[in-house]
Amino acid sequence: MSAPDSLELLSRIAPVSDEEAAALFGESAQERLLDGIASFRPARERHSRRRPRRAVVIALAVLVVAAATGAGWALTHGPARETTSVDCLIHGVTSVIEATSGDPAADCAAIWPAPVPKLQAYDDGLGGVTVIPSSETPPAGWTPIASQDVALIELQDSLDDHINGLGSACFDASAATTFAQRQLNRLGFVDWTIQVRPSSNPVPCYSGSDPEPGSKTVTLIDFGNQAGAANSPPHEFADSLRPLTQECLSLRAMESAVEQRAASLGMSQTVENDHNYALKATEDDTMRCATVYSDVAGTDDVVVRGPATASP
Amino acid sequence: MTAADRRERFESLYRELFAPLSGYVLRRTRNPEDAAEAIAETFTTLWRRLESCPADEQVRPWLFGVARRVLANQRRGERRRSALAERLTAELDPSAAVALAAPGSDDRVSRAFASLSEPDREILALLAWEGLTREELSVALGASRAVVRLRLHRARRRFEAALAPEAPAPIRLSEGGEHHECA
Repeated sequence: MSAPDSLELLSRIAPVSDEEAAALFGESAQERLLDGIASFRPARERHSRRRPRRAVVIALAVLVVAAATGAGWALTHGPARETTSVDCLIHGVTSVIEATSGDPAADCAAIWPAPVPKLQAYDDGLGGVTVIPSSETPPAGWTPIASQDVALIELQDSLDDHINGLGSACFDASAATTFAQRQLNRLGFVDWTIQVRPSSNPVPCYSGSDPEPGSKTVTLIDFGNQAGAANSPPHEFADSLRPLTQECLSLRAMESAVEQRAASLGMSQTVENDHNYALKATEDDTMRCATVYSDVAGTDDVVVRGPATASP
Repeated sequence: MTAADRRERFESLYRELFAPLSGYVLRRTRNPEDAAEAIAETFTTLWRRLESCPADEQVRPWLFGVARRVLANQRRGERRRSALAERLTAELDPSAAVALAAPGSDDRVSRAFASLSEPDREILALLAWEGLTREELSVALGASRAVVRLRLHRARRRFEAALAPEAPAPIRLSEGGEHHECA
């Protein structure tokens, strides 16, 4: 399908060009700034100073952001627990990652380079979950949060899944709706609605957008075929993992089976190339058998959940 | 590095990056005084970290990462009216400032973009407005390439969903449907 070139559309609404921005400040002012900065003594002769943190006024921050972007941004959001991403803000570096285990601090720790400090997750008051080192004082308005909704995370995983989910093939509206409804039923989401965005594409392929707990809605959108060519590495990997979804394995057995299949395809978790993948495992002893999902976003992310001991 | 070499390298980077950094900042805050403050603080950070900042070709995305944190601090209320910023704002061009207030030309795209979260907007803007490569994105965002690819993939999907026609049409659910492989 010929998807709209969203980045091209976005580039056309850039508020100001570099040249226009620089022209705002006169040339002599730029020179004075250069001289002013260069008059400082170099860094190694100074000690970094700790800036006092003022109280964070969340609502004001939102309004400032909204004003800065010209946004008519709705100030509505669902509970932070009902989200499927985590913002890891560690030592001044921020990375937004997909939630995996339901324990936001553990998810950040799993992807952070060692040594990982002790971490604490917070509801940031804006509907998001942010993880920071436990040693840091959170901004006012943040409240500790222990977990995210694992069922919602699994719903997202199952919809995006390239092994059996909407990422595995081209689903028309009817097939996608049926699939999404089965996932909702399986994971205990009652009274949810599935909606389909109309598409003008003659052969639409529907995927699920992020589930919306507030409105209890899964919206299916024609994103084109997510499965890729039959001989592409992600497709081959998903094909090789599919038989595992018919077996009842423990978490460790499933991990091992995934690693074996990846190795047989020349895939690696440590070398960043087109054959790179990431395996994320979460032990869940409430499950009888392990599940495996794969989502492709440049890297194959394989998510495995399951019990220490399988109960076929 | 001698003091003269240090000054020479900083001056070279400053002249090369003043316009891109001004553009980056003013595309995110329309207030010229806030922008001046952010530009001054960001270049001051570059000066202080000249020995440890990345190689020349990666300074631009690295500097955007610094500016992003400076702007975030501004939004948190950590504003500093520095003498350096005063040097920049002293000669603000009023006619250019007026031009900054002009909204984007495509309201539909603007609305869709504004509906995204700040991390989604940032990664898309770094790509579409700053023209960063995927490699440079990971420098600017301080994240691995794999994480950047994932975030970008998600952000594009959400942006395209926001751009798609509104008013979804509910369809009747039917069990037992089969899915069809695209040709």
